[in-house]
Amino acid sequence: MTVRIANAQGFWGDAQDAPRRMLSTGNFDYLTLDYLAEVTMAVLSRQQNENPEKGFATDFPPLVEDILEESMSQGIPIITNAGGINPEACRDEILSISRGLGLEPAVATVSGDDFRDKVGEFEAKDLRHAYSDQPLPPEKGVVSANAYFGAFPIADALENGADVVVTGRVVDAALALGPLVFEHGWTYDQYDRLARGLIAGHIIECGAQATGGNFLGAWEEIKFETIGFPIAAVDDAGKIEITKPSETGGRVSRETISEQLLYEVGDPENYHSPDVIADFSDVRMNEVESDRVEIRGIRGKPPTDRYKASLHYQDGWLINTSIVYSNPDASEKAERAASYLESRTETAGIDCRRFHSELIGAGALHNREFDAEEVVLRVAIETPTRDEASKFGTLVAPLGLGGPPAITLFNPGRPRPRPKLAYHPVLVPKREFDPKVEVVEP
Amino acid sequence: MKLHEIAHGRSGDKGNKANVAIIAYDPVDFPFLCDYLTEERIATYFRSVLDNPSVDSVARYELPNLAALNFLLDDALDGGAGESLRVDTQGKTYAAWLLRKDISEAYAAYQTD
Repeated sequence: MTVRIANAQGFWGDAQDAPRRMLSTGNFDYLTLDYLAEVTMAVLSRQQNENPEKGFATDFPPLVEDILEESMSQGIPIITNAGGINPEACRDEILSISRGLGLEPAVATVSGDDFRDKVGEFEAKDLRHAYSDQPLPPEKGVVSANAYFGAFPIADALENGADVVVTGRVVDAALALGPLVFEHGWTYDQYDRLARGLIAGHIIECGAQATGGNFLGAWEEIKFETIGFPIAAVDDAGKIEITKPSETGGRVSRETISEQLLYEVGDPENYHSPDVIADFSDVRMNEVESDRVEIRGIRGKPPTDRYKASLHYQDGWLINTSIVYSNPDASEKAERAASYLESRTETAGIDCRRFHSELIGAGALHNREFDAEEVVLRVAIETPTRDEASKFGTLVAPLGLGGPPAITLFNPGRPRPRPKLAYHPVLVPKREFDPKVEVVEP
Repeated sequence: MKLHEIAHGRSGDKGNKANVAIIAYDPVDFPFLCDYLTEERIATYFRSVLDNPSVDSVARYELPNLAALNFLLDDALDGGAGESLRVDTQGKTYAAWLLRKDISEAYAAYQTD
């Protein structure tokens, strides 16, 4: 028996028409939608401080309004991490939208990952930075703290009849592994199968990035406008096939899939998750036919007794600005403007922790190699307070009349500061957490 | 001759680390990649973005069946997505950067060995 899982959102901000396009052109059993990047939880937490009803991905409910009738008529459950730090509020909005459409989905939430208010209960050693071993600074308030849950709570929700599953923080690949566990009845100790399901989830979690998006091979041939999103077909033994709907643009090949497989990974022998440590170092790929790749050779071993968790704390403010200088001497003028801004920042009494400038078009990304026809000067600074960052924002426009020639201001309006959200990953004991699955029946 | 003529790849982030994957189009070029793309060479090539521009900042992993190498670069992103002041906060252009490396001499020499 083969279970087919499509992913139609690779991140919050992805193509809003992709889910509808997938439902009308593809054949699959489950639809996943991935909304959470590393820093999203901290951003959502700040939004919730302004408005307690918030804290979830606000693009998700309108998308549900667009596709729920179609997904329910095809019997396709939707699984998403759009719940963010307020899965319950997200669920309530979905239920309200459903009533408006005359539909009655069972909506589940998976929560319990959020430990903002309980950070103080953890031992200091469990809160040391997972890579640098630095302690969590006690004087900085924690903006968000979320453990990455795995697939089994999602499988539970599906077992209890959910049509829509809204989670908080889970590992992205769990959105796909959850339905595989449920459908195939995999148990916690079937590590090879869990590893295969995990990797299938990893391949589809970034959407079009597996089907020819961001492709460093023959990208010129990709029809991006109608790019198909990936579908993972996984059988009971964990054999994986990746495809996309045939009437869509893009490509599924060894090349596109191997790029996505190696995205955001470290050691391929030890790809960690809450449910399994996958070893895909010996993975084999085979193009079975056009736009269909078979994947074998993945093994799994037991996970650790810890969840990876992300904490964010606020530690200063960031602001950046971009300005265009044209030839002649575009780079020299841009550099002159950069040193002007550095000097004016100091004169204004701004405590600048870091000052960074780069010339886009003359080697900002990959080291300066040549003189360009025009250059974008980009300057970014860090300050301890919001006021100081705002003050920097007022120093830029005067370059328009009182600086080097042939300038055009790139950003409309005055630049605005944003908080610096320091990222502090930790490894916390699983026994301190209790994933909560709740299903609200129609 | 540039590396992108014999390979493609992808780069991404894990906190303040960047991963850079290089995949040979033809498996016959994998031994050359293993020989040429040493941790040292990678550390030197990316020195302008590494907090600690030494070989200690680079780990290399091999996937022979994919003819691929994966490099993990420590502290390569000026703090990472929430903290970096750079335009490329997540290392999204790093693989493209490496693929522009000139390999003319080394590749020619490798063929004749």
